[in-house]
Amino acid sequence: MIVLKNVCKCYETEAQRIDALRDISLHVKAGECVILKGASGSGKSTILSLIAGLSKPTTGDVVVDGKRISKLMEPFSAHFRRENIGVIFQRYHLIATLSVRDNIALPLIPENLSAQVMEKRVEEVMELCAISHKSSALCRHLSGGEQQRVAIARALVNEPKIIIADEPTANLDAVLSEQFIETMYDLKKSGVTLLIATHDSQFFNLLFVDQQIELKNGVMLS
Amino acid sequence: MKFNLYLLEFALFSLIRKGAKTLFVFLILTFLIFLLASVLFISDAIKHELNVSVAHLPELTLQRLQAGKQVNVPLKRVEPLLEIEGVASVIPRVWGYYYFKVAGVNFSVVGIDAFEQSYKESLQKVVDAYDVKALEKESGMIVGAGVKKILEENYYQDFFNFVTADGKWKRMHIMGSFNADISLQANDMILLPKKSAYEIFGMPENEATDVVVKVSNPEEIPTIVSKINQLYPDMRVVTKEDIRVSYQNIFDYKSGFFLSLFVVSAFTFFMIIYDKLSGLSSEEKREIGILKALGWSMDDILKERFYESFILCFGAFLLALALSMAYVFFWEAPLLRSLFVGYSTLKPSFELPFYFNMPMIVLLFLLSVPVYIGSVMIPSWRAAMLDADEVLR
Ligand SMILES: Nc1ncnc2c1ncn2[C@@H]1O[C@H](COP(=O)(O)OP(=O)(O)OP(=O)(O)O)[C@@H](O)[C@H]1O
Ligand SMILES: [Mg+2]
Repeated sequence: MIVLKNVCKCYETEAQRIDALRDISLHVKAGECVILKGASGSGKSTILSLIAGLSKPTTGDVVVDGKRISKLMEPFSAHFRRENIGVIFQRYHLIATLSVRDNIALPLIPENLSAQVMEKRVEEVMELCAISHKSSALCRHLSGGEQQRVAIARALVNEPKIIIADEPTANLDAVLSEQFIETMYDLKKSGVTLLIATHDSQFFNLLFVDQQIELKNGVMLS
Repeated sequence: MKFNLYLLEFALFSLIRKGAKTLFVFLILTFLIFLLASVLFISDAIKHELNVSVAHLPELTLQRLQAGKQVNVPLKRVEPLLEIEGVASVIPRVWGYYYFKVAGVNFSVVGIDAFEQSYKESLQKVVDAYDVKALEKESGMIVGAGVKKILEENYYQDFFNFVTADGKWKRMHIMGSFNADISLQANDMILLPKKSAYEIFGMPENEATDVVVKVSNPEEIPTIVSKINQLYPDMRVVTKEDIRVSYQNIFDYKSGFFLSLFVVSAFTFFMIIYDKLSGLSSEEKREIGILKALGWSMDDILKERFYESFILCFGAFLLALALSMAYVFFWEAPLLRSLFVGYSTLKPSFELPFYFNMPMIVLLFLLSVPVYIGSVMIPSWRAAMLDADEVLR
């Protein structure tokens, strides 16, 4: 499903050259749940953005669902993201001045669906994430847990095969983190491939995790 | 591809979301475009009016000079002038200014004659509408709209007492008024029978103020001018072209001021544009990053940006255009007009003729709308080009 082959990523600034990833190879099968762990700056987010097609590797290949994402150009990479990937950001990145419903509908706008289909999809994921009662509230008025549920709903609304989550529990207390893990479990049961970057130890000994990948300074340890 | 209404909706909504900022940009744009449009409208209307009035001028006006001053022309010169080949008609004019002390205003008093053709078509139309013989009998006069207004303000509803050159009262009855299509000059004009004009000015009846010569073929003007000079060396011949040039000079001088106003507002506009071009706020960049990560293509993002800026700028353009039209043609451009119309040295107000110049509006459009849209699109395009991995970190 997801294959990284000898991937390197370096950022070149005027002053220095940062090797964010060095020779990473990994293999994720469809429906697996993979945890990326490692200290801050070890390259977890970088791997996720490569898989989402948001950036390109310096060398090496990224293949997702048989497509070479690393060579995909606009607007195909956007199209690919829309079809396959749901992203949950570290700080949720909801648009604060939009309502819950409008935030969740964002990934559907470029699809230009009929109003009914769009409405139905949004309703479904709001139901699933237990946020229906807030559908017209502005996101900046939501609590942290509610914001997180909106972020999950938004990642699910385009029915992606792969969910990418970057430190999804960093701003949550233990109870909410527990809830998030349960949601992830439900998603895994329905066949979604999960990639979660985290240094939250709650994730490290979960039974449904298939692979744990530890990174240090851009190198894979295990 | 089907038109994506959701994108348009999102654009509209995001304008509303940005509230105060949108309003601020909208007001600034509206004000600047309004200023530019008003200046262009006024200068255009006046230019147009000058062209029209010059077009109606007689080809040749003859003045008699004595010791460098303009003096009256003896009427016995009319016959010899008529005999010059190529001259179609010779019309002696009796006219002058009458100073109305109470209002501090100069009126142009023009003598008219039942048997004589007027030297100007527009004037002829006014004269034709009245019975000049009856005017003569009842000491009547016809006044321009501006004159009528001023007289009414001073309680002269249906007559006016002129003070003649020898200090006597001369009562003239207002028999009618006119709005000639060439409002620039007609506004301060009083038409009355020649006899009365002679009396008011204290002029001998065998003289005229000046003489207007009509020519059948404009090509012959140079030869006719030289023949007139030979015949009467003390006469100065003013051609239509001379008048046009002197009008133009005054106008150009006045419009210099407006040009600088124009430049200042254009400059301000470009400053705003420059400021916008120099970068997006991090908030805006973040939003573009989020949308990209959620599967929007660059195309979608740029389209949305285009709708947003187009709605804002085109709305401002239309509003400014409507406002400036109302300001210039309906309210007669208070403040700005006094700077512009000052050249006419006449106090009686004149109306700015409505003159809709399409190429000018197109120019105004091109100067504002695409420039603004570009200033929004270019930085957005730059931001959308970058990898959006910053939102994932
Ligand atoms: N655009 C960039 N320009 C320069 N350096 C970058 C850029 N993006 C990431 N880096 C560097 O790449 C390295 C890996 O960053 P990455 O965001 O993947 O870390 P991370 O494991 O997600 O850390 P954290 O747990 O703090 O989120 C870091 O050293 C970071 O400074
Ligand atoms: Mg990170």
